[in-house]
Amino acid sequence: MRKEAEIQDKKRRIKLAASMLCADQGSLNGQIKEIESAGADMLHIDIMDGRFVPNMTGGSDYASDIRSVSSIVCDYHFMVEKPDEQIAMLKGLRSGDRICFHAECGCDCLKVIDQIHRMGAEAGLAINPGTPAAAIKKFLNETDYILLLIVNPGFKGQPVIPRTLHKLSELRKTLDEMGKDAEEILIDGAVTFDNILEIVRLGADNLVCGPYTCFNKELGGIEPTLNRVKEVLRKEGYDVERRGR
Amino acid sequence: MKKILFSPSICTGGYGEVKETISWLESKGADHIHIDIMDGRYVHPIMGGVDYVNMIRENTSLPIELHFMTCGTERFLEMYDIRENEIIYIHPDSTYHPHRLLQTIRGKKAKAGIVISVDDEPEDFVELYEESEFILLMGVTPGCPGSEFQESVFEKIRKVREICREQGIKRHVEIDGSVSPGNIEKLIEAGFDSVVLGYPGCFDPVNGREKTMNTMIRLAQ
Repeated sequence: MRKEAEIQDKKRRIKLAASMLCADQGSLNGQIKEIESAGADMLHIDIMDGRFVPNMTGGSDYASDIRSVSSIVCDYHFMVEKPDEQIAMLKGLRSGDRICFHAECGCDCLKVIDQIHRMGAEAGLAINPGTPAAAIKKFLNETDYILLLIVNPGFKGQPVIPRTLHKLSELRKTLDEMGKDAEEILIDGAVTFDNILEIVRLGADNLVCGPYTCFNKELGGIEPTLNRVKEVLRKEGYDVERRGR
Repeated sequence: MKKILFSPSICTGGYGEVKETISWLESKGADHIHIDIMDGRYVHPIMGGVDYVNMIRENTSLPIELHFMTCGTERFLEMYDIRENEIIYIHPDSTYHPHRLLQTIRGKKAKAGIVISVDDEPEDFVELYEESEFILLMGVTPGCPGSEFQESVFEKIRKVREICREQGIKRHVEIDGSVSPGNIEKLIEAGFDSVVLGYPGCFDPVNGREKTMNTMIRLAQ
């Protein structure tokens, strides 16, 4: 169990996932190299079907192309109506890769979690701002991580919905009570330099870094921005060093 | 001078270096850029996101073809905010109101096109030819790259031309699917105005894109 003292000691390991949605779609290979050399832990790949969310992205071919050129963990976030079908089309998964889908999509969550595990990946459940933490409690023994959206999904650069941060601390507490200290919470949407410390203090382990905390032109682009994020977290005592792949 | 227009399917060129792929296609004299948009429902895969399409729009001066393989295509047209002069292909069975959808597309000063898929017959859409400036014949089943080339397209283009004659109209007819050095000459002979080039006709993983494209250009002259 994650001890209160440990949280207060802030020795926790925080992992950074660069959002490929915010990368330059015209030169992804170069962007991925830069993200990797800046020491990000994961590439966060959004897959949207234009129906579960009002936006469309690339699908399994796109995700698999990213997988094939990257040496770090890929974290796939399926915002689709039929995650089982789309997940089955992913190619070239590597050990440590993670796949999450939405609890709201109406599918048989346990079945899809099992499908992901059988593919050798870690399985996560994602929830929208309107979904209470209690809705996924019954799945927490099967999941490896939870993705909490702090904005309504579909587009980049939206403001954080404050109530979702309350949900974050609630979820952290639930996981602690269940003794699930290895289960990570990934925060997705508008993580900024203004809210990053609050978010990790409330119990986030992983952060999706987008326009503010990764692809920030004002700060000089990917590498200087990610370095600044790490510096901010390190200064507060958090562990931000990437290990292995 | 080629006897047929080339419209490479950019999605088959990979996603890692799309800007470089566009410049290469332009340097090889591509005439259009064909972009597949799939929603995971009309066809199984998901492909061709909004940001991806916008990036291509920003990086090329070539005319763009958007091929919507989507259910309820009206909503997707809005999502992609179609532009003047873009060629917009729709599958008539993807909506209850294909005629109105074609009118909507033309109302935005884009060029409207219908797709005659593998299981469709040219006669199925006789009421739509008037509103369609472009007609796309599928040579393979949409969403299934590498599936077998349908020889029936040769009979279908003959039928399309006949319907156009009867209606007193002229239409641009294009073919999509498994166009290759093996069939390009026959397709030119059959009277297609343009060809969509995918893996076998452009981004051939075995022979490489340069060699494949050069062969295609030579055969099309």
